[in-house]
Amino acid sequence: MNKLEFKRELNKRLSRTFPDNEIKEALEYYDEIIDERVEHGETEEQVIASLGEIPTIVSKITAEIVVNRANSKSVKDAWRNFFIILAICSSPVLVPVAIAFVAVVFSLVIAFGAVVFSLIVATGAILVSLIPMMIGLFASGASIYEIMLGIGILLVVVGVFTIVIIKLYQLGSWIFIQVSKLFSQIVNKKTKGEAYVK
Amino acid sequence: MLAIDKQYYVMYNIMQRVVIMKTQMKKGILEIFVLGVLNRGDSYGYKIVQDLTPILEISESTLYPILRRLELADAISTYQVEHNGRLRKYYKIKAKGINQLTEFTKEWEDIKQVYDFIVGEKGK
Repeated sequence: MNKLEFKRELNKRLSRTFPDNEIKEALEYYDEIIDERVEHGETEEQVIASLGEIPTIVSKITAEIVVNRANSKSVKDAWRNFFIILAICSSPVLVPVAIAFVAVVFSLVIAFGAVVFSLIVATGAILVSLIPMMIGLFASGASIYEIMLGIGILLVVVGVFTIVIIKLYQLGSWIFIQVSKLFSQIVNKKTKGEAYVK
Repeated sequence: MLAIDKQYYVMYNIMQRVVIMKTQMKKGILEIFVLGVLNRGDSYGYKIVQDLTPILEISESTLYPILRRLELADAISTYQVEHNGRLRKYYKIKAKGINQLTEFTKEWEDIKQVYDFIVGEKGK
C-alpha cells in the first residue's frame, strides 16, 4: 500500500464515525510520520506496513475521542457518541451494553417525543382556534371585555405550554447527555488497556 | 484440600489484578514519558518516537492518541513549522502538563521512601 492508498483507506474508516476536524488531525499526523520516515531512508511501503492494520489504528483513536467527549455538555456530541459507542460495541463482549444503550435512548426519544409533540399540537390548536372563537363570541353578542378575557386566558395557557415544552426539551437533552456519558464510561472501562496500550 | 483451593483462587485474583494494574500503569506512564520528552523541549511526532525508542518501544499509532488526549486536556499545545516544503507539527508542553509531571515525580518520591525503607531493613 502506498501513502495515497493508506490515507484514502484511513479516511474512509474514520469518516464513518468522526467529525471532519478529527479526521483531518489524524490524516495530517500520519502524513507527516510517513514523510518523515521516508526522508530517513525507508520506503512508503515499509513505513505503512510497520504502522499496523488500519482497523487497529482507528480503534485506538476511537476510544480516545469517546472518552474526551464523555464530558461534553452538547446534545450534538452526545449524539455523535451514541454512534461511536455503537461502533465499538459491535465487538461480542459489548453487545449487551449496546443493546441496553439503544433501548434506553430509544425509550427516551419516544417518551419525550410523545409528550413534547402532543403539547405542541395542543398549543397550535389553541392558537388556530383563537380567531373563530373571537368571531363566535362576537356573534353571540358578548361584550368586548368578555372577548378580551377569553383571549387573555387562552394566551396564558399557550404561554405556560410553551414554557413546559422548552423545559421538557431541556430535561430530555440533559438526561440524554447523562445516559451517553454513563455508557461512554462503561465502554471506556470495558476497553481499558486494549484501547491505547499495545 | 479446600484451603489450598482457596489460596490458589486468591493468588489467581491478585495476579489478575496485577495484570490490569500493569496495563493501566503502562497507559499512564506513556503519557508521562511523552510529557517528559516535551519538558526537555518542543518536539514533533517522528522525533518523539525516536527519543522514546531506547527506553520503551512505542509505535506511531500508539503515540497519536496520547498526543491527541494531552492536547485536548490542555496539557500540551501545537504549532506548525515549515520543513522541506511541508508542514511539521511541533508539540509544546503547557503549565497543566508540567503540573502533571511534578505530581508524578512527587508520588514516586513517596514510593522510593518505601523502597529505601524495605531495602534498608534487609541490609541491617
